[in-house]
Parts: sequence; C-alpha cells; structure tokens
Amino acid sequence: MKQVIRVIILTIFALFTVAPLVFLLTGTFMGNRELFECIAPALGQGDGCASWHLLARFPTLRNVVELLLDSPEFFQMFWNSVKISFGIVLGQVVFGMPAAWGLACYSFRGKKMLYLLCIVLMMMPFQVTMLSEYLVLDRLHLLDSLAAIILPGIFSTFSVFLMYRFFCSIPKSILEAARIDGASEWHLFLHIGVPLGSSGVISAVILSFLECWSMIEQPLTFLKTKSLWPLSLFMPEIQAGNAGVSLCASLVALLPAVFLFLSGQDYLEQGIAASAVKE
Amino acid sequence: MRKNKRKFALLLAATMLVSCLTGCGSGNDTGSAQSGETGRFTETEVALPEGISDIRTMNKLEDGSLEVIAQKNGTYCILHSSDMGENWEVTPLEELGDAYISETAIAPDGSAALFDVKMEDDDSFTYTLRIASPQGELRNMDFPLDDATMLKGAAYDSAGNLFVLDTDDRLQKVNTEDGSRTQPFDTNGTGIFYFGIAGQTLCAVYEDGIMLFDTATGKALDPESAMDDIVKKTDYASEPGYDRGAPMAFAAGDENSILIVNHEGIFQHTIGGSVNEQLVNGELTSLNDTSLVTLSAAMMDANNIFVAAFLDGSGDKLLRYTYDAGASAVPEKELNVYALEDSALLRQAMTVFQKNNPDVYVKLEIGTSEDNGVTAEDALKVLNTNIMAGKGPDVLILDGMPLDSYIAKGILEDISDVVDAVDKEDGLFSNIKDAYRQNGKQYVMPMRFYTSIVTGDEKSVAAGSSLKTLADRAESLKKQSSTRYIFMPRRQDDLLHELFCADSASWRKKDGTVDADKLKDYLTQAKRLYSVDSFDKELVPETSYWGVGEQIIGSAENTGNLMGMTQIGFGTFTSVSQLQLLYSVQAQSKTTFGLMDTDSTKSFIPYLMAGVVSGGDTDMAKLFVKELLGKEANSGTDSGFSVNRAAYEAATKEVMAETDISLGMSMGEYGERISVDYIPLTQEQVDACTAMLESLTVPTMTDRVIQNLVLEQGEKYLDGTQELDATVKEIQKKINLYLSE
Amino acid sequence: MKRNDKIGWLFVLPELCGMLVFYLIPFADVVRRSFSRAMGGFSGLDNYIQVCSNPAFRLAAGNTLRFVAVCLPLLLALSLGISVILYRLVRGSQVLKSMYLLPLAIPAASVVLLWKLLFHQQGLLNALLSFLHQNGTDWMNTGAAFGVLVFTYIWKNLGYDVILWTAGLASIPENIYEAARVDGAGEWMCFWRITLPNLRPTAFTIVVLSVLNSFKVFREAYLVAGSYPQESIYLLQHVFNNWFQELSVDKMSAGSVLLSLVILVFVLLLQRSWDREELS
Repeated sequence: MKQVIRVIILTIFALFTVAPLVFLLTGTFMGNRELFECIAPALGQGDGCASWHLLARFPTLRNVVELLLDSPEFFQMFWNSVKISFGIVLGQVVFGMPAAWGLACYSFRGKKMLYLLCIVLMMMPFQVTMLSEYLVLDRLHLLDSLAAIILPGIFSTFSVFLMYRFFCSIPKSILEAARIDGASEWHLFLHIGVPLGSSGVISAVILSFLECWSMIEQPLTFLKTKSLWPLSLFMPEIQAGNAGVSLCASLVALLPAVFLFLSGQDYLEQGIAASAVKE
Repeated sequence: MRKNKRKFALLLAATMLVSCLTGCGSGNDTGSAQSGETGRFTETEVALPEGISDIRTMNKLEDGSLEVIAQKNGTYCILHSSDMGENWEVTPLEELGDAYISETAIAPDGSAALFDVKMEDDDSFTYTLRIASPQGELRNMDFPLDDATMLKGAAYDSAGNLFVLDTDDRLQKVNTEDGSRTQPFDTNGTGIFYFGIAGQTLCAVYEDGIMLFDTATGKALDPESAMDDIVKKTDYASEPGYDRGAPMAFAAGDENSILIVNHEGIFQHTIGGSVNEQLVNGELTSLNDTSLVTLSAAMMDANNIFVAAFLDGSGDKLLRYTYDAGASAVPEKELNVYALEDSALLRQAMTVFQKNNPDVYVKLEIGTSEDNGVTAEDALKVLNTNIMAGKGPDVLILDGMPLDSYIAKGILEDISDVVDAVDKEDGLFSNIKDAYRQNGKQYVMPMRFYTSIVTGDEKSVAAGSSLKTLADRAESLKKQSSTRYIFMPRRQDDLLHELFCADSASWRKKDGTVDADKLKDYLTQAKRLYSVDSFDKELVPETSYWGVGEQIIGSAENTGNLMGMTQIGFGTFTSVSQLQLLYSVQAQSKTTFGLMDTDSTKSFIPYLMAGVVSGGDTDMAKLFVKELLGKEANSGTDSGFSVNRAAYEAATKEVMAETDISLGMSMGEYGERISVDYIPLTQEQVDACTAMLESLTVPTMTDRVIQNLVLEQGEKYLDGTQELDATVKEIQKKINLYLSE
Repeated sequence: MKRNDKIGWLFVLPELCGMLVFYLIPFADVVRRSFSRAMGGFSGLDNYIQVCSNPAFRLAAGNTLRFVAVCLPLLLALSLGISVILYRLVRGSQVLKSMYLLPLAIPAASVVLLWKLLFHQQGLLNALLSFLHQNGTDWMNTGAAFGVLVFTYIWKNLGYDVILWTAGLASIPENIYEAARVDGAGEWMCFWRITLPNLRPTAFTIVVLSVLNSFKVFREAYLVAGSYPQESIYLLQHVFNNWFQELSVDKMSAGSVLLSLVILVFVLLLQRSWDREELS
C-alpha cells in the first residue's frame, strides 16, 4: 500500500516535469493552422482561452521538414553549440581538474581564500561583469569568435567547485600509502586521483555541459556575427504563425542534453554519492 | 537498458554528423575579389539634357555608343551619345503623343521597341508594338495579348532579337516585322519575376534562382550556382519586378561573362565560374539602398559601366562607373554610423556624403532587424558595450534610444556649431532647433519631422483640437449615422500609436513623471474613438511601423470620405506630397484639415535624430551631420518635412511644379475604386502649411520604453480586459519604476 | 613522508591564471568603476550612496531576497521529501529520476513559449481552472507573478536537487538504520537522527548550487515579462539590465559590488555553520 501511495505522489510530480516535453512533442506535429487556433488567445490575438490538442487533429511533418531541411542556419547554430560546449567542457577537465585536486589534497597558504573566491565568482550573475569582460576580451582580440565564449567558460569556477568536493572524498590514506611507495605527486594525481574521482569529474562535466548548452547572455553580447551564434539563440520572436517550427527546434535542442543525462545518470549519482562519504 | 542507450547514442551521433556535414557545405557565397591594393570604380552621375525624366531603358549599341529612352518634357525621346554620355543627341518621338508606354527595349543597332498600352472602356488592355528607327520613325503593329495578360518586361539580345515576358510567366520571342510571337524557351511553368539579357544569354529570375537560356537556340543552359545564390540568400532579389525596372539588372560583361547589378554592387560572373567577382562595392555608391530599382546596365568597356536606376526620393539617374587605377581600393578613412532601424532616407544622405567625400567609407550599422529577433533592447546593450569600450560609432541616430540618459552621461558632443552653420547657409525651422537647444548647447538635431492632423468638415477639424472634443464630435456624428464608419477602421495598436504621437508631448510634468490625469484622458478618449465604429477586428490589415520611424501611417488623407465611407480622418502628416493630396481630396470632398490635439501643446514627431559621439572622429562626424541636415540629402519630397528650409522650399516648389492634372487612382480598402484629381498646389496653400509647421514647439515623447509601456497596457484597456483605473495605475507604476532607476 | 604542500599551487596555477584573466581582472574593473563616473573620473562613494537610495534598486533587492528566502527552503524540503520517497521505491526509480531531470534540458526560450501559453490571462491554466469552475487570475500581471516565478524555479531545479539528495542518501550505510531499528527507533526517529545529520555534506553543495540557480531564474522572467515586469518579480538583474541600457554603468558597478559583498557574507556564514566541511 505504501508503495502505491509513494508511486502516486512521485508520479504527480513527474507529470509536471514531463508536461513540457509532451507539449513540445505534440506541438511539433501540429500544423501551423491548428497551432494558431490553440495558442492565439494566449498571444494576445483571438478571444476565449487557449487550448491544446493532445493528439494533433491534422498531424503533419511539415515542421520537422522545415526545420531539418529548410533551415541551414539551424544546423550551423547546432554545430556552434556543440563546438562551444565540447570546447568548454574539455578545457574544464584539463585545467579545472588539477586545480580541484590541488585544493582538495594539499593545504597551502591562501587555500581557504582561493576556495572562497571560487564560490563567490561562481555566484556572480553575468550582468555584473559583462561590460568588463567585454573589454578584456576586446583587448585580447577574442571578440566575435567562438573563443570569446569558450575561454571564459573553461575557467568558470563552477566545475572546479563541483570537482573539488568529489576529490575531497578520496581517502587521504591511499595517497599517503602511495607516497610512501615513492610515487610522485603527479603520479598520484594521474593514477589515483583521476580514476577514483572519475565519476565526480563526469558529473561535473554533465552539469557543466548543460550550462554551456543553454548559454544565452554571453553569445548575445560577445558574438556579433550571426553565423557564430549557438542554438540557444535560435528562438526568434515566436509568433503564432511559426510556432510549429520553434517547438520542433526546441525539441531538437533538447535531445543532446537528454542523451547526456540518460547516459551519464549513473555516473552522476556515483559521483555525488562519493562526495558525501566522510573522510 | 544499456543496449538501448547505446543505440540511442549512435543515433544521436549520426544525427550530429549529418548536421555537421549539411552545416559545413554552405555553397558559394558571392565572394569579392579585391582588385589589389589600388584601383576602384568611382561613380559619377551622368548629366542628361534638360527636362529629362522617367528613364525607361538604356543599352550599348553595336558601334559602342550609348542609347537611352526617356521622357523629355513629357515626350518620349531617343537619346544617343557616342562619347560616353558627355554629349547627347535627342530624337523626340512625337508620334507617340500621350501614349502610355509600358515596356521598352533598345536593339544593338539603335532601333527601339516600345510597347504602348491603352485601357479600354471595358477595362481590358490593348497593346501596340511600335518599332522606332534610330532616326525616330515609328512603325506600328498590333500586339494582341490574352485577356488579363500584361507585359512585364522586354529586352533585345546582342543579335537583335526581341524578347518579352508576360504576366503568365511566358518568355516569348517577338518578330519585329509583324509582331508575331514564338516561345522558344521551356520554363516549366515556373513563375518568373523579371529577366534580363547579357549578350545572348537570357537570365530569368525566379524564386529559387536564375534560369539561363541561350537566345540563339532557345536551349536552357546549366544554372550557375553562384548566381542562384544571390536569389536564394537574399530577400530583395526575388521581388517581383516593379512597374518600371527590377531589383537586379543584367548585361554582357567582359569576355563571355555576365554583369549583375543590384543594390549590393556590380558583379561579374564568368560562366562556369564558382563566384561572382565584385567589381563595385555597392556600399560606396548610390546603389546602396534596398529600395534601389535598376532599369538597365551596360558595360561599355572594361573600365566603364553604365547603370540606369532610380531610388525612392532621388529619382531617375544614369550612373557611370569608371575604373580609376590610382584610387585606393577601399577608402582609408572610415565613418561609422549607427541606427536602430534601417532608413532609406539615411542611406541616401550617406550616399550624398560619400560622393562629396570619396576618401571616406561610410559604414552603416543597423541594430535591429526583423528576421532574427534581435530586440531593440539587445541591440542597445551591444551598442552601449561598444561605446564604453571606446569602439562606438561616430554618428548616432538616436531614434528609439534613451536620449536624456545619453546626454546626461555626456557621450554626445555639442553640435550647436554645426546646426548654426546649416541655419546660416540654408535656414532651419527654428522651432525644431530650439526644441533641442538648452543653455546654448545642442546635442541632437532631427533631420525631418512630422506632425498629426485631422481631416473632415470644419466642425470636425475644429473639434480635433483636443482628443476629448474629437471623440465628442465623432459620437454625435455617429448618431446621425450618414456613413458606414466615422473613422477608417484601425487596429488598436495603430490607433494608440497615432494618438500617442499626437498627445504625449504634453504628458511630462516638471518633475519628470507622467501626468496621470493626462494619461487617463488619453486612454479614455482612445477607447471612445476606438469604439465609435463597430467593425470586424479580423479584417483590418496590419500596418507596420517601428517605434517612431519612417513607416508612420499616413492615413490622414481621409480618402474614405470620397467613397462616402468615413467622415473624419486623423493621423500623421507626412510630407509635402501628401499636402498636395490633402488639398486635392479637400477640393473634391469639401473637407478641410488642421493640426490635431493642439489645446495643450503643438507637437511634432522628430525623425532621424542625429548626434555625434564624443571620443570618435568628431570632426568627420560633424561634417556628416552637417550633410545630413543639408539641402542635398534632404531633397526628397517624402518621409517627413525637411528641417532644412532651403530643402523644404525646394520640395514645395517641386510639388507645386507638378501642374499636370494627373488622375490618381486608388483602390479603396474594401475593394472600391476611387479617383482623386490632383490639383496643383498654390503658394498660399504652401504658406499655410509652412505656418502650421512653424507653430509646432514640443517634440512628442520619443522615449521608447514609455511608449511601449503605454501601448502595451493601453491595448489591454481597449480590448476590455483591463479597467481604466487599473490600466492607468499599471502604466504609472511601471513608468515610475523606469524613471526611478 | 614528505608532502610538499607547495605542489598544490602548481596544480592550481593554470586554472588560477585563467581565472585571473577572465574573472578577477574584470571584477577588479567593476570595482574600479563603482568608484568612478560612467565616462570616467573619480567620484568616491557617490555611486554607492545613489544606489542605496535608489527606489528601484531597493525594490529589486527586496524582491530578490524574498525570492531566495521563499524558494530555497521550499525547494530543499520538497526535493528532500521526494528523494526520500523515491529512495524507498523498489521499481521505476530510474525512470522517475530521468523524468525529473527533464526541465533542466529544456532551453529557456521554449520554456518561455510554454509559460506564455500557460499563464496568460487567456492561457491554458485559466482555461483549466474555469473548466473546474474556479476563477483564474491574470497570473503575470498581479502578485501571482511571484508565485509563477517560484513555481518556475522549483520546477526547473527539482530534479537537480533530487538527484543530489538521492546520491547523498545512498551513501548512508544501511547498517546504521538496521541498528537503530533494532533499538526500536521509528521511521521519523530514523529520519531526524540518522538521515538528516548524515546529509549535511550534501546539503552544503545543494544550498550553494540552489542559490546559484536562483539567480538564473532571471532569464525566464525577462523573456516572459520583459524589462519592466510586475512589481513582485522585479529582480536585481532587471535593474542591472536596465541600468546598462541607459549607460548607467557607474550605478551598475556599485550595485554589483554590493551584491558580491552580500554573497560573500552569505558564503562565509554558510562555511561557518558547516564546520565539519572546514578545509583541512
């Protein structure tokens, strides 16, 4: 009995979270006319209340076709998003991982301050440093290139923070033992830290990827050329007339993130579990 | 679970791969080959004989000379020049008389084909083909077409064969002896917008590209992807041709290549090549205007290209591009101009400046554009970032920008010296100037301005002095219900916008906030005016306007009155040409017109407010602003009234000079046909107008944020979804929030 | 057993360099600007005084504070509750977890479209309510907008936190519970005395991340309701955004520095109360 109640409660919440996906799926296959009928009131045209058809009355593949075959810019943007996200995440692993390791396993002067700095910088909303960052990027001649998004992204302290906590959980005793055996610090890092903390790193990667995939402010400010824009900026003013294509685009934009979740979910949990283990 | 995930992963990876490939192969762009460090085509306008208007076509003859067909003082003539346009021989075609010539084309031997169309009583059209010899003798023949078919274009190929395009999208070859036609080209029924002939290659523009045919054999040639790309990747190229001309013109280029002329410049495409070589960068010339209509093009020799074209506001031109090996490929100095919205008038001014300062490259950056949803706010953020970074523009067009804030922050230079200089030279409307001058300093000056007027009978116009009395009058007229509507049906946002332009000047209180009572009055009257007539909301077409900009609706002329459909009109008074229309309508319908909403303030709507940014190339920028306010840039008779008095007077003279009592026909919005007999404008009328314009003192509220807030909430009130008090409160709250920031 | 702690610096260095260039230097610039006028020139504490007395800023600061104070506990409690229930579930937990994570993947612009659809005065929610004979309100233009924003935040981050909690729960050894049950402890007792304390480390991460995410909700608010939304959802970022549009960079910088100080204090307090997580 308890199980049943549990399932019911959980499912109710799940419905809320899944509902938008349902919208996107059903909306993608609705023709523009039907969509217009449904959503016009909510966009300020038409009377009465908005409605929705769970199953399209006149299902059509038009939106999918229009998006995948007729909008070359969509793929260009998709590819840009991929480049940006992969670039950042890779960089975070290369630079952030050692940094998190260093913070976790050694105590040196200024460590606390550094840690605090990480956190504070991480919390800063973009508007705060937008202008100054623009000026710095300009000085470095990085503006209007994907590097303007990728480089700052690599050094974002968000991933360092996450990875730090995972590395903290690795028992110091193992490290000590290895040191006694004569292993160098670098060796410790590569052959013990990385494997043990891998699930943590992967979970940081996943969360970080999600961040990058949905970045809006940075590309808008730092990228002038439209052909460099990532997918997250693809949503033009959604009129009742072209809602179908937008819905389809949203669906496609979802997919990589969902895929990442599904494949990485186990790691995600493992990693977080590991971080909770006390020393 | 794992297996499924793996499959999914593969699927996704495959999708990404496919997307990568499709994304990468973007095809040929119109590459521009630099012609080296030095060397560039410079533009000059060819002087034509006095009295020439209405250029119809132009071509290069077999003997290397140039021929043009145009109207001289109302008569069609053949103009011929053997020395690249320095001197012209004019051969009038007197026989044509009043005939309306729909299409023309010039043959390589100097003869010309003119298609004369007459409208019959039963609304059908009769075409007559007239072949003119170089000496001006006409040979006429009937040219019957199917019912309701009209001609869209005509051209000769280099072998002397004549081809025409009709509205059924048929490309036909015409026998100039007897007017018979054959159809040598198979177009598969595709809709063709317009066509041109380069040598013996016929280029027909359709939705997805350009079809090529060999005029000698009629065979279709392989499409050239670089040429198709021009059509595929732009909006302007696939516009249908206009009454005269088209967005692109074609001509024979060097050595079996095709010359393409459009507003982006002049390009040369070698058959079989993968790019279009850019010979002339449109941005540096008069061509740079999306409203450009090309008529004909001809390459006289490798160093000389002629283009006949016309632009909104600057009329017909014959332009000559000469290659100057010594000139630098791109001008050294650069002037950056920034505006939130595009404007043909601005571009025109830029061209004028460019012409007078050929060593400066004027670059225009437009903040917002319709297609990719960049809002004004986003654009402003980027602009501000640039300004702070010191990379801002040199000249700012401040329409839609937070003017007060910019002035307060000190980013604009004092341009009172420039304004005064123009005032001294040409005279300015001092009321406009004074509106923007404080303590002897001036940071911004609009180039043009509009105002709001009411048209109707005397009582109505008198009632127009305030919104309330106007609404009163409308309601009392409605009771008598002698016409179907009182006002021409308008959408809510358009109505609110028009009234905002008329009324908002008086809303600002001394402390900077918005007067709630005035706001309430505005909304109340707006609702009354909106509700006076009942009409089907769905049927009213959307008129486009962007903030306070060029596309202000000029529906004030109240042509509906002529149809007996409406009684009062109100809206924006847009130009000197409209003045003539107003008086013409007035004469026919016994109505009058006058300024609107003048009880509290007489307001004007500024357009293209120019300012110079500190820290940039201020000297050059000031020069530009001077040109912007100057006589030449303001020579158009549309798009507002010129602030420059000399230009204003020239415009009025131009309109007054249109003494032909021409018959203007227009279709009423509900399918009815009305005709307006244009009557010539008298000096008295012009003076009355001038006095009206001089009486305006306060600019309407141009703050985009406030305007949007008012309109947004106002629409809800007009809709009935929000009460009056709630609406006023909401607007005030938000405006106060805005002002308190 | 030599442990050269200084090596730690070496590991950190590359990241530090990047941080310096892309974050610290810009931030230093912001601090500098907070003491100058928009177009240059020293102005001392003028900007700070202006900002603190600025009604719009105060409104926004109040709203932001209110938002975090409401959302955070709500989200934490809700996600913890769900994860506890989920944890005890035998089947289907994977699926459910995946479903909860979905909102994170949906791009902001699509959320906006759906939200407009739902919460408009003539939108789906009101349609549903009228179907159930209830009165809907104009969600986005009354105080209810705050509720919509809270809902958005919770909806988006529920999955995030559930996963984190679940993982934390998984790390608590089962035998502790068994031992407690043997001693006669009930469900609630177990929860209060065993589960909660053991979740402390996880909780720290979650709190930090949740606060971080609460700032992100600005994006959706801005896309749905524009620069001047209903009063109750007018947040700090709105103010910064609008200031920037008018080139009031001086005020923006001062406001940013103030915000950073508040965050710093908050983090310090958090650190202090998580004594066990003190860096060794």
